[in-house]
Amino acid sequence: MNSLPRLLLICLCCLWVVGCKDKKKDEDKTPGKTTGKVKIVFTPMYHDQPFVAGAVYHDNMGHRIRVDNLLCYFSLVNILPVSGNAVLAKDIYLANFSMGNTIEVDAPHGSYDGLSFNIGILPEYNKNVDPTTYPNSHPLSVQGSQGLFWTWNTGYMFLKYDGKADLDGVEGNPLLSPFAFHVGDDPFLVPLSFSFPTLQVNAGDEKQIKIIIRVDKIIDGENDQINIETDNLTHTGGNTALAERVMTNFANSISVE
Amino acid sequence: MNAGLKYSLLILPAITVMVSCRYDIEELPEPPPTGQSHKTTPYELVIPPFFPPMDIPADNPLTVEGVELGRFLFWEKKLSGDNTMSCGTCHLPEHAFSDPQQFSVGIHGDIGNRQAMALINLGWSTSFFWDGRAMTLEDQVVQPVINPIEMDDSWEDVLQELRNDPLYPPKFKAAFGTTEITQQKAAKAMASFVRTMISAGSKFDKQRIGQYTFTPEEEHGFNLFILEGGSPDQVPGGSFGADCFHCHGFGAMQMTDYLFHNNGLDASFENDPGRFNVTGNPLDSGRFKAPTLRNVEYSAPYMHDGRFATLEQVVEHYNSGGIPSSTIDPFMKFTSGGLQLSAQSKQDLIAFLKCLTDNNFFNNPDFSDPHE
Repeated sequence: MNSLPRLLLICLCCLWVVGCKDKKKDEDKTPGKTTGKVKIVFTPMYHDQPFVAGAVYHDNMGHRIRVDNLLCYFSLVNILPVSGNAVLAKDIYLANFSMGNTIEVDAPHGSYDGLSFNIGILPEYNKNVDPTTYPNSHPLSVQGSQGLFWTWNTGYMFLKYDGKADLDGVEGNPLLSPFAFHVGDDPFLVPLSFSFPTLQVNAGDEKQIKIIIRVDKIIDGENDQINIETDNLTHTGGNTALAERVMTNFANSISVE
Repeated sequence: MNAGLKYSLLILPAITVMVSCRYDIEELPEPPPTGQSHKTTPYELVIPPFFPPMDIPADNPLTVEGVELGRFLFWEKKLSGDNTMSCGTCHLPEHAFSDPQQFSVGIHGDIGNRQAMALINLGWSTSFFWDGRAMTLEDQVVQPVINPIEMDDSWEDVLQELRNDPLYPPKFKAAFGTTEITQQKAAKAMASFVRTMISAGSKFDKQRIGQYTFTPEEEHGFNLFILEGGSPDQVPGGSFGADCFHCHGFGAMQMTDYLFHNNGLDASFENDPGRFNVTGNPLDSGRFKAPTLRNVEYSAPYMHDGRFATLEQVVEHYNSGGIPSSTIDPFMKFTSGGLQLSAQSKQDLIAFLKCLTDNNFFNNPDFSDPHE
């Protein structure tokens, strides 16, 4: 009988150790202990002011324009460490610039000095893929594409930029002249990469990378002024030349801070 | 070792175990709440070929009992102020669950300013009503009941009438495990029923799976549907098509992009600003939801205000290019000159639109009035 309390004591201690083992293991798995959060913030600007969809602006040729829709796909958004492997922030992201757009990624602690992504969708996901295989919330599903899915054999619009203009540029005039630049198809996939001053990410940090999109430069390109009086419509097919100009201007409008 | 020490040694670790594992105990799943433990029969929803998955709210899973209750409620005239109208009064099966009248007439003889939308494949829709003011089916189905120009009832009165009807307490019990009748439960049941109203048996569906071959006219109409309008000399990319696919795409077989468009019906929108009433965004003035074109042969009249009685008028509207305005959709790019479709092309386009008819949908006994 004298050994009974000792036996019970040992049993209870064993139960304690066994019963709490999983909890300790779970704590070890808690994310964030060796990572920091990096926010990639898309910041559209128009003439150095925050871009507002639906606001009326002037282009360099004096037209009054209103951008109703600016949407585009970005794919394989990676942050690039000074050394080591790229960290995938997002495989596919649909940016609708009528609202805020931010990608968050848990990045291993370390130094980062670059960002890479594509404008558009990789060919293997663009054409001849049934969009109904995605959940409806996925940006490549028909519902999630926000109208950017064309058809199964032409894929998705990579860039949708459209609105209305008053070509006379007179304040108060109604904006009745439409322009629509809808660019898609595999050849229009544009890979981009940027470097920036080293960003140190420590465990628990929250850091930000800002992608600036100068929306005005889509028409008023640094090297190519698009005149929306004459060049105001492309659905890519049939006017690939204009589609290429628009996509080039768009790609050139992007910078990283 | 004295007895006190022995017991202390025994009790101390026990307390330690209890305290140290408190967190784990709290993580144990809660028992199901009362009323949730009853047996229901899962409704086996069959997703047709090329359709996307249907998003069903986690708190309203499809059950046979819930769908049946929803069907009874859909056709229940007690949902109107004078017990003369049910949902089915304005959403008639033979008209693709729409109303052949331009504007439906409410219980007091009032009429609104919008056409009753066809109820087809709404389980895949992301917004409801012409202006998208309801975000879920559960939210949508309760609104006509209290609309003074429609069914003009109060949910308090409706619920009381349902409680007094010996038909309903057992049906609510079967669906939800309790005879308690609430607006939320009624809405869930009706939404469940509407989610089962799936149309996927048209010639177009059969063509996609190789069970039907278009006639030459239908084939031509289909090609017009999916091609850009205008000539390549006139418009970049023009392919002499009808430009329908931009807003009525068939990527998910629903013939809609689920978005809101101004399709050039009017120059100004004082009478009905459409989506603007919901968002307050001037860009949304004159924009309305692009409806599905499934069963469009039978869902006349057309447009949000039912202004067109025939498909010929609809096609002629788009052929004309529509009326320019500050919010007309960029896809309506032929306001000057129109699409210039030939008479034969217009006929063929309509021939294709009729390929979207699914007669089995209208005649499906699962959707008919169970009170008859």
